[in-house]
Amino acid sequence: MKLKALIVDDSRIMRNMVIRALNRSGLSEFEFVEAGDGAEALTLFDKEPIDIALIDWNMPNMTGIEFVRQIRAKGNTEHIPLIMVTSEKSMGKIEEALDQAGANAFICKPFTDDEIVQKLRKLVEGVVARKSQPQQTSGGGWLSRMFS
Amino acid sequence: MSTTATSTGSFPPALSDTVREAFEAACPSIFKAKATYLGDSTEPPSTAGIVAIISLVADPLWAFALVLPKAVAPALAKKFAGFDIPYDSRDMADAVGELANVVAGDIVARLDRRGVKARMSLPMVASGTDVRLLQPGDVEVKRHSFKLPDGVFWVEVVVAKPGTTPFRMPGT
Repeated sequence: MKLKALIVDDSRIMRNMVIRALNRSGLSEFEFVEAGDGAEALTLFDKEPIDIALIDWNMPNMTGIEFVRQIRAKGNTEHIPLIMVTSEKSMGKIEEALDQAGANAFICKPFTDDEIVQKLRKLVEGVVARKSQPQQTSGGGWLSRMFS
Repeated sequence: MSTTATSTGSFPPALSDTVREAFEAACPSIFKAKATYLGDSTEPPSTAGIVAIISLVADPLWAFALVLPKAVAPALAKKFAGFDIPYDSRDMADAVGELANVVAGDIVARLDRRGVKARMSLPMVASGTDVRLLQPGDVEVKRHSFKLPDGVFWVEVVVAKPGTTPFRMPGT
């Protein structure tokens, strides 16, 4: 099963590094969608069925943290892991991302392959488990949502 | 530790020390080698190179410039990115800008632990021959040189004199 991963960073080099690390991780097979800033990422998020997103913080047009806030504000996105991958390292920024904006994890640059695996393993497993559940028919789905 | 430049213009040691520490800490993880510190205020040789500048809003306003000579940049960029990057490519500017960005994050965190709040700008990158920052008249400069197995690079720390704004602002 391929997971669609949205990679958001104004640095093409860094997007490439994240993609390579995910491909090496063995966590899953991935299909990648790339965005150069938060605004572009929002547009892509609305067009594509994104399973997981890795997001830089400091970008032009719209920061990554603002993208995270806007995604979480949409509602019904809590099942999509949003992971900050950023040079920001202060405790205040980490708290802002995880406790306030709604990011699921925080990876500091430069990152190692081990850090990618450690921070993403459970999140990816959750996505795979959710996607592996049998799809319900529209009627059953409605009833399931009603009584779940 | 004070970071404020005095009215007599003395360079705030906390800023310079923090930049030096951050680059020394970064080299083993990014370049897989420990850097030897060659000292400060050493006049760099005239050389072709690439420079990435990040400015920081703190008290005082300041910026640092990471300067990689042309002979050194491809090797260091490859160690950072994990793949070859031609010197004369946009990707090289991207890589050096990102390198500066990564260390800037650590600098901000170190200053934060010292009780100094700072916000960083996006990197600005330039390349050419005889690359050096031409400072406006209202700044003070300290230059750190580092030696790696792949060669020497240096970092300039530039502090604005009180009441001036000579740098790019955070978020821009």
